[in-house]
Amino acid sequence: MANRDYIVFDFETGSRNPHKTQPTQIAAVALDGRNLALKGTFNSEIKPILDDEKAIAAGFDPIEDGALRVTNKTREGLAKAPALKSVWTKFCKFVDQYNWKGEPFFAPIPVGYNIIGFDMPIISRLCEQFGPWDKSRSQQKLFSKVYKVDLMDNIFMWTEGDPSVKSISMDSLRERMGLSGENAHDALQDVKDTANIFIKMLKTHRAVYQNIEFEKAFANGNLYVK
Amino acid sequence: MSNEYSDKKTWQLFAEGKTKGVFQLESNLGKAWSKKLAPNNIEELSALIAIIRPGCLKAYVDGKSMTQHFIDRKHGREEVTYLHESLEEILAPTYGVLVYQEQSMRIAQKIAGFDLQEADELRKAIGKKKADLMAKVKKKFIAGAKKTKIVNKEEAEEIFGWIQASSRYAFNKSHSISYAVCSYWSAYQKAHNPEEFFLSYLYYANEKQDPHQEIYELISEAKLFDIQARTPSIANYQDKFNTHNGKIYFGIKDIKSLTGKTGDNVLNAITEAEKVLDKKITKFTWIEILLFLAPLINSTAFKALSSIGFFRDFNGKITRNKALYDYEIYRVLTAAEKKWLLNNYSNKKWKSLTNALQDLAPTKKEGGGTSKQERKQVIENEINLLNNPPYSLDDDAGWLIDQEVKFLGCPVTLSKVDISDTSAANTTCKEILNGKTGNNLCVVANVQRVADYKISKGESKGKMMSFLTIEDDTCVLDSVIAFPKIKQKYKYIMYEGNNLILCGSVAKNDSSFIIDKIHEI
Repeated sequence: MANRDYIVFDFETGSRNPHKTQPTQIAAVALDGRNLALKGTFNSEIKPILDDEKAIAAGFDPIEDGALRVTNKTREGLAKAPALKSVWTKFCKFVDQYNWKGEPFFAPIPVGYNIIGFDMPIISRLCEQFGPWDKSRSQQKLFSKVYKVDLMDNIFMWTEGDPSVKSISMDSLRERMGLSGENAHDALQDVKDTANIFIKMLKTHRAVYQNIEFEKAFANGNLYVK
Repeated sequence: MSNEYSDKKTWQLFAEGKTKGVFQLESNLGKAWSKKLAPNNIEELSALIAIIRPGCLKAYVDGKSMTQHFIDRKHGREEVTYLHESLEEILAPTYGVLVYQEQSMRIAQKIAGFDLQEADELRKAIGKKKADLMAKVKKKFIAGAKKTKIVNKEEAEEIFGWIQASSRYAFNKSHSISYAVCSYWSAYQKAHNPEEFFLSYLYYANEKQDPHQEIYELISEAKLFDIQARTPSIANYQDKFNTHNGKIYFGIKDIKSLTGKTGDNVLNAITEAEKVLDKKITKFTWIEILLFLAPLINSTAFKALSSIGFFRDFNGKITRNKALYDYEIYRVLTAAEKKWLLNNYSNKKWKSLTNALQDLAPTKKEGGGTSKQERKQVIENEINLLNNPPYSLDDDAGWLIDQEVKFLGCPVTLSKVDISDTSAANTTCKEILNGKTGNNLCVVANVQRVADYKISKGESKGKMMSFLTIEDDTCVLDSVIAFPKIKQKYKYIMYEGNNLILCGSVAKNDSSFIIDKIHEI
């Protein structure tokens, strides 16, 4: 399995609905699928449609002031950022660098926090709009089409037996794991934090797996659900 | 004949197992057994070619293959014995091992008084395994032996049985000697003219079943002869493999996806661009490459050239990633915008793509080259991204290696271990291949192949062991063994593509590197 690289990525956006929100920043780090070493970093702000009426007319949510506050951005700053299509093209090239065989089967695996619910729908939307898009399956083909890692699911599985864990939001995790919250909600910092947690989880998984194999786990007939 | 085949350097090459490309001995099997046998005359080379055939390797007597018997006898590790003393003169050149069909025929002539025709019938009967014919020949053999009285009836039957058993592996000597002669001369060329040897093999590598694997192996082995490979560049390119200053350069048409007409188009495009600017491509600036060469070749070809570092020789040092990045931005331009840049280049002489786009961005009304405000904004976006690339445009070593493997079949500029810390190594693959022995040898290497093998007998029956092919920046080493305990302990990190610190030993009189510890890097 360890033959694809991982792209840990995150969008900052101007609102909360992934199907209509406008991205204001995209950041990513590429990790070697084998030794989990950092291979590359991507970071760019994105100029959204700042005029509310024009945004609505184009089918997007307007940029919310609250979102700008949380992500520490200003309308003036975003007005100077490159447009979505240009950034997206560069992001696709960045991701494509880590498809080390240049074949769909070896496309990198997307990783992020709460990506299934939020970031992957944005990826799909942008792929459909600008490519690369698998028309026959109506599916993105920038990343692996089969595998994805939503770290939130892993964290849930890892902590669900611990009644002291009340929340697994990224902010709670930062505090629990001793990560600084100073630049939280900057896409690049979020991505770096996510990557650190992801690497720790994977290293732990790998160590555990070496001692507890699943091979023939139910061969003795001891099924939990019969 | 002995003088003709007495070149020490050539025999040394066989003894070191450096036989990639040497006729009949270029497989891993051929290389390994050549090293084990270390032939030093044409007779032994002929025998080597005969005994590394499947029949001989699988013919076990007293728990050892006939091949191993032959080698142990040659090196004095096993006594040379004969089934009967009378066979010594026939079997002495092959240390008492019945290697050739011709030896069976001579035995029949001597022991049973067969004439040449009868001896040939024996060969045919053995070779074709015809039971009825065999029974007839056997009867004749026993009767003949009775007449010559060299051996008694029991001995004659034993000798015949032995000849019969040899049918599994005995080879035709005339065939084998002819092979040996070809093998010797190809090894001679390799030993004395390695540059030309590798060049010619690489030149025809695309005719092999797996050209990329062939190129990989040849380039790896060339390192053993201190011949380095290089990717083509604007400063040095030809259509096919070529040598320059003692280095082997890949040709334009040796790049994957440029092998056919696309490669010809690239070569023609370079000539055409040179004519337009009236100067050699080596004198082009990077912006001139983008404006005058890029439009003449298709994007797949331009990206392939960028990825293997074809444009690396610029004064401004264009990394492969930067070349790809700039090219993608150039491709954002419309045909009219590209034409505007071409038409205005002679006046403006831009130094960079950014400068060119800054002049292009304003609309035509504003004195630039874009047709409308929308296009102006697109170009300004690209200028922004040229000035502030969202990712590093340096060439990551791992990426660079992947690109060369993808387009050339093997890493050329860097070795796969160059991305790892190699300070823990106390030896190299080349040193081990050249005969270094001892314990606690540590090599930092990339695992190229892991062949798992289920042990079928002995104490470890049913357990898995592995044969590894590893490589570092010196060469490829394919006689690396992980016995069951080590296989079990390190199975999660011992996979293809991983860089590892492999520690182990090589015993005297053995060329296998036995792993006893593995560390992750």
